[in-house]
Amino acid sequence: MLNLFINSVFIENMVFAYFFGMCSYIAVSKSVKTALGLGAAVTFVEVMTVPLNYLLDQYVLKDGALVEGVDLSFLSFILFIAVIAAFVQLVEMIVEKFAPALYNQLGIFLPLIAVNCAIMGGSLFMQQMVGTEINSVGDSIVYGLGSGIGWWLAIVMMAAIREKIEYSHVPAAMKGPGIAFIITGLMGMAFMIFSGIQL
Amino acid sequence: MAINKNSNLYIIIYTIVMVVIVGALLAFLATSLKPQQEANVLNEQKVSIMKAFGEAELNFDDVVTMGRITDGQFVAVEEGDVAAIFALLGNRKALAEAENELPIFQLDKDGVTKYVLPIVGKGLWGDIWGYVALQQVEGNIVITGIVMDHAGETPGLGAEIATEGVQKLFEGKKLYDAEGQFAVRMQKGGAQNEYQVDAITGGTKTSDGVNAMLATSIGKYESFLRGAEAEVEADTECCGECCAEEANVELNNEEE
Amino acid sequence: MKLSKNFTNPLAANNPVIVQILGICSALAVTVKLEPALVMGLSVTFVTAFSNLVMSLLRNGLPSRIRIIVQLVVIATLVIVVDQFLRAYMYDVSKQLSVYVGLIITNCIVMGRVEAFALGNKPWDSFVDGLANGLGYAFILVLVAFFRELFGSGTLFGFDVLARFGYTNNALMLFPPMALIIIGCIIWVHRSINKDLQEK
Repeated sequence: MLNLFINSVFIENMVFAYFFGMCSYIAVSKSVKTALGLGAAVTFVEVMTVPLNYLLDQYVLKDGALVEGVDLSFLSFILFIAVIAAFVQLVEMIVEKFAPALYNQLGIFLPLIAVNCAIMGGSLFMQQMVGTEINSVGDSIVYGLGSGIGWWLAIVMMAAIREKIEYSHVPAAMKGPGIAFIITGLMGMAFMIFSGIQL
Repeated sequence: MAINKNSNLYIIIYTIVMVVIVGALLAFLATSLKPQQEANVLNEQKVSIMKAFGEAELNFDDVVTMGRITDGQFVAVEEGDVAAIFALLGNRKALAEAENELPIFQLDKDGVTKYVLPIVGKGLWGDIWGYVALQQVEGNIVITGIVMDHAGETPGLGAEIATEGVQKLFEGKKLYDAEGQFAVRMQKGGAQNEYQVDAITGGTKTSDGVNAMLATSIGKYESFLRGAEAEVEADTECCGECCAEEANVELNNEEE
Repeated sequence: MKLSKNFTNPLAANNPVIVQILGICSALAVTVKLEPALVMGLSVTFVTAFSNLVMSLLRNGLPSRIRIIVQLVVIATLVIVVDQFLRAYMYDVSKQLSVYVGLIITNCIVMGRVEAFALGNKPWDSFVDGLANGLGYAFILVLVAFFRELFGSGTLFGFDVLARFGYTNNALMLFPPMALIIIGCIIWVHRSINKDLQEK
């Protein structure tokens, strides 16, 4: 399980290895504070939806899981996204009702998360890893947590670098997204060293 | 009468109609395309097996005998049992755990018998798998072909095991050394003898994974393979005259 | 006149990927080779065009409270259609694309175009808009894949190109980070030409 965790945080990092969640990653990484908020929200949603989708996959979608001889796996995309969207909506309503202060900080990010590929990607990869790395609800929680934290780490680091880069002389045409992509590429190369870790 | 589009009743009816339409459409599509999808998976397995045999142009169904190794013996499978074998090949976890009744494919061509065994293991990142073709040559068992694929090895490094260049290196390698130990492996720093294959530079972990995969997967068939090997040796021993002749030749050589 | 402008704009000056920075998530991992990149690009084009068309047709009867979930259902349905067809008729490519087909659902271009255009425009305009945005996306994907396959494997669509000149493949091009750096460079070139897009 520790292997799975370290693997999903560092080696198979959602951003650097799979480019997941790039849209909000580039758009929201301008200040460390907002990056922290969004990262926290993504991690939370990921920890909750990956196990939910795991249960859904095991007890409803898998070949013969619901009714003998019925394979519903072709519905997995639609059900996964429905779970994610419904969950995000639910969290938004609960937070708004019971913790308005937190809602003011996190609220704007929550609708963004439903279409964050890191969340959907986490669930889809989980489905592929069933039977090899992931064999229980516990494993799926660990995987969700790991990939969420990996994404969190990436966006906070990126935001910190971008805050500093404000003061540098970047060619005019490179400012903004251009340089952000190149920095991400370089960070990704740095993260590749983790692939040498023997777990 | 204007309909209130945000009334609960409207939303509920809207949702129900939507779910029914979408569900019916997708269910129809999935059922109608399923045979084609399953045929693709089956066809891919057959093509891989023929590639391992080195006879990609032959049709699997015409030439290959499918069987199981049960307690070290080859048992041909019944017609109705064929699907079960392919289902097992498609389930790498079950295949890795199988200890008896192991799937095997036999091809007789030009008086030569070759066997293909499925192999499964773990690389650096995820599963690696494939098929290896084996043949009797002079009392040893030799790899005549191998195909390998992987789930997510590093592109350009470990992923090279899926390329023809690397797979060609395995051809003609002997499985067992003179002491009868399982000896074929990918060797870091380059092959040094007839059992070794050059490991992939920068892909050491994947190469190790390939070694472990070959050792465990082929190891399960060992009693069968050894049996076949012993048979050939027994054959040569039976042929007393030939042996005597050979011995004479050797003696002559020594004298010279 | 307006229609043709709707069509050409997303292809270059207002490209969804390099100007609006949308839809990068699911895309770059499939740009190691040209073939999957092309198939991915066309799949996204299909999904954006038809989700725009369907949502535009539905726009008048759509209850606003469940707007987002209806959009997701329509998009997910179209993506499943694409996925099932790929598995049935382009099995090899569908294996290479693996989970990335599913990620078209969360591709921001699709949602973004439905929200920004289809809900307020006529079906035919919306269809053209979706088509053009999808093609703009496909164009960038193919461009990145062109460089990565050419320099990373020395081939184009699997045919030897550089290899015959004694070129040694640069494996670094095959790693994920290089896709980001290539996109960064494309943005650089694009903004050098279109100066009005530059950030102050």
